[in-house]
Amino acid sequence: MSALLSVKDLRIDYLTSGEPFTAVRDISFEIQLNEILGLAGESGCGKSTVAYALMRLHKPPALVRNGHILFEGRDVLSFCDKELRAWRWSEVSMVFQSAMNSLSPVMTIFRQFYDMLRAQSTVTKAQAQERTAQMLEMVGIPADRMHAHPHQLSGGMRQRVALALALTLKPKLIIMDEPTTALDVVVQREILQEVLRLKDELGFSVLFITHDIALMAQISDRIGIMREGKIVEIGTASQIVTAPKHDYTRSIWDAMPLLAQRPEGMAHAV
Amino acid sequence: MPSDTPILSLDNLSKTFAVRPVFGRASVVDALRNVSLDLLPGRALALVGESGSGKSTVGKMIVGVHSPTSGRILFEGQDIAAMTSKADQMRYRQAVQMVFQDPFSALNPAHTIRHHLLRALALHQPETDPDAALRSILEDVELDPVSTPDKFPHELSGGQRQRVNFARALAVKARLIVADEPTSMLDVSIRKSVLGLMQRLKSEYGLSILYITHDIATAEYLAEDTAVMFRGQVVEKGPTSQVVGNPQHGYTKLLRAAVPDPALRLTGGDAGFAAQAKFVRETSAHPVSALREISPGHVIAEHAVPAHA
Ligand SMILES: Nc1ncnc2c1ncn2[C@@H]1O[C@H](COP(=O)(O)OP(=O)(O)OP(=O)(O)O)[C@@H](O)[C@H]1O
Ligand SMILES: Nc1ncnc2c1ncn2[C@@H]1O[C@H](COP(=O)(O)OP(=O)(O)OP(=O)(O)O)[C@@H](O)[C@H]1O
Ligand SMILES: [Mg+2]
Ligand SMILES: [Mg+2]
Repeated sequence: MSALLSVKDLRIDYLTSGEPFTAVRDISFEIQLNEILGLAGESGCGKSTVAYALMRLHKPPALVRNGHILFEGRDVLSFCDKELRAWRWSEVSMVFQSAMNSLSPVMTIFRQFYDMLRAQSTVTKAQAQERTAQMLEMVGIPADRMHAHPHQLSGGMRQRVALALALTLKPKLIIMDEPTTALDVVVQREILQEVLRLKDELGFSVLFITHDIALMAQISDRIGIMREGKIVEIGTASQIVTAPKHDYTRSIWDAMPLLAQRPEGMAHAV
Repeated sequence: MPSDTPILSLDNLSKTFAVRPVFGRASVVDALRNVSLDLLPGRALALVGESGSGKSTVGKMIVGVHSPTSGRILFEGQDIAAMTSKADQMRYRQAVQMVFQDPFSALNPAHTIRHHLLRALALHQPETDPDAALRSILEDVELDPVSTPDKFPHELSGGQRQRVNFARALAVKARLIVADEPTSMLDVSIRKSVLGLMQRLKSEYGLSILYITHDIATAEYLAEDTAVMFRGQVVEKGPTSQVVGNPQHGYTKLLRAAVPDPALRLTGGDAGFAAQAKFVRETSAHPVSALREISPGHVIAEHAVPAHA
């Protein structure tokens, strides 16, 4: 099977006033069609830096020093502006770590969906409203909230809007950088199940970045563990969970906070 | 003052927001419905619940960002809306401080940490020697008192920045901290150290903490008491050991059961979780008709239409 995305020897520096700081150190990985690849690692190890570069959204002082990013065999780093515009959001989309980076504070929620839909194809306002309503309801937000501005929504509602926006154009790859940090566990689970259901229906791949490794184990097909800019271990979810090879991976599991008691009397639904 | 006298009480607090679209009719959101909670000195109350259930609104009303539609906020027994003297209002604003989820947002990127903390000290502790006070506050939050003052916010990690926010609350001699998801942007090891810091602020300084969180495991660690919110109402509250260890309301049970279990794979066909969640939501959304005490201090809401019909 050929990979949807293939990253080879990617190195990214931040040009600071002193020595350049190498945040991503020659990493290589692939994401297959329909695959969910999890990426975990402690704060500052370079996860978001990778995510931005995959979307070609990295900006100075970040600089790609070395390596290739191939999407369906096409060289993303050499796309011209026109190719980038046609590719970004419609073929690959992203949910940013801070929902406010995905949303404009001065536009209503509907406006943000409308602009995105219009950029891809001709839609009437009524069609855009219908699609917006459908996407909001999918993430558990009443459709009439489309007329609100972001500051009129709760933190978790904003994060759900960002997720809905990333799914709207049915891209082939969705990069999710800590997409559920602001959600309660019930809504988190419902939404991730919905993402999985849509994936079965439409077919797409996900790069899932989170510091919640229990969650990562629940949703990923394969997991990569990053540390100080390198991928120290990558394997199937069950191998990373049950038979980690690297000491660092084991230490992540040991540090995981666990609830004192698992609930009784309510069976897990799956 | 006996320690079971609340420092802050929310008494039947309600908040309605109106959302006016450019066209069409305005809609209203009942963000809070008759919320009553007590915060005790030297204790932490965890506020958990559904996304959009009104937790941040509770926090923002306490620090005065929003005013209540109805109900009262009592500070040491005195209604804050009835505080007319400037001195009382100052005293309240100083006593109650908020720490937000995003450790970046609360600090001005153009100023050093020294500037942030000295400013807070000058306003609220003008009589103390500022340099000595600065040093001791940084030590209290476990930041290096030598290298930290000259740094700018972007030169600190998320966890260090969150410590600066707590240091600022100490500088103004806060007595109650409203911490709205203070650790959700931080990774596990840093999260633990921030929780340890809050634990110490509570036990050593007698601070009260309203700890808004989605992370039940950390609520269990930090908070003596827990309240659970759903659709603007408190549906269960009491000692954390009871509420988290032995949940009785349908929504709390659902929340407790949904905590990610690494051994459980999620799939698109969910064998009933969504249906169960839908059922619990429908029954829990009805107005609370009564609070029933099921063990000392542990109460659950009964809804106008019974939740377990
Ligand atoms: N604009 C910048 N200038 C200089 N260094 C930066 C910049 N942005 C990030 N870095 C550094 O690059 C490294 C990787 O940062 P990145 O944001 O990718 O980490 P992360 O793994 O996403 O962490 P987190 O889990 O906290 O989000 C960090 O050491 C960070 O300090
Ligand atoms: N300024 C506002 N104008 C209109 N509606 C608002 C405003 N602020 C909050 N709301 C609404 O009030 C409700 C409660 O929001 P709040 O932010 O308190 O939720 P929350 O429990 O903190 O949720 P989360 O866990 O997602 O942060 C939501 O429906 C939200 O959209
Ligand atoms: Mg990141
Ligand atoms: Mg909130």
